Amino acid sequence: MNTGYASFVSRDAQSLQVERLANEAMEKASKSEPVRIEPGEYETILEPYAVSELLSFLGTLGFHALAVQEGRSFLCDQFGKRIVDPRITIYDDGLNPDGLQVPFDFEESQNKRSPFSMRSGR
Amino acid sequence: MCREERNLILRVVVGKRIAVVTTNDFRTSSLKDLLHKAIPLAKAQLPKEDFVSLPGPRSVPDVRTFSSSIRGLTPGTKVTLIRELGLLAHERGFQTSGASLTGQVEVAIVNSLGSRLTNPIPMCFSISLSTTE
Repeated sequence: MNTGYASFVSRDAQSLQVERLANEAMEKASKSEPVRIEPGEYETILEPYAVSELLSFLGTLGFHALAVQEGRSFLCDQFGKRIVDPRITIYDDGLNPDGLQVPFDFEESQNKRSPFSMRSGR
Repeated sequence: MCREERNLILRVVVGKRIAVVTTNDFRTSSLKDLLHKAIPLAKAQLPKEDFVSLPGPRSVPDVRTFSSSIRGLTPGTKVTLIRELGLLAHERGFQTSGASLTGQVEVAIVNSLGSRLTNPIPMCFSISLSTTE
């Protein structure tokens, strides 16, 4: 059984393109038949929805100062170390026009582009 | 389904010791009780050595976060949108399910150093479709 998924998020409901969204989900469901594979390590290509979900969990679990201060972030004691592939850059930017902009965060900090230490690649 | 809620998050700072408490009871007596509980709680915390200070007054970028096109979306309108999506897929032999969500959150932040920030009703609209062939 093939399945497909598509999603749209915006501050402007009128920018929704119904046909485009439906086509996206249908095209994925129309790909070749899924095959069963054994558990193991595989080179994997994640679609943007999957990356978004992944980043959301990383944000909840570790990408904030309180979690680091309280010693429960996976980033504790990792500053300055390379913990991801050097081709990966992760940053927080509350003013990025491609995202859902918010001018400040709950700690009253003015939002601006802030790279995480994972970026350094050293 | 529609849900409306209000929450207050109070952060008390005593030197470098910090406590965070929350409530959804906005009665004055309840808020006073909350404060009286938070102060000794803060004093009992281990100091956060990285903490410098709460921020003082400042300006923030003027970001447009309000959309009248979202405020005008009724539950019926959203159902119609999902049906429209589903029909397009159904015509090509797919089974579908969909969901739509709209939300608005108004954030106000005030601190004892004079910072007062309000965010003018950020709104967000999302819609998703799953298809099965």
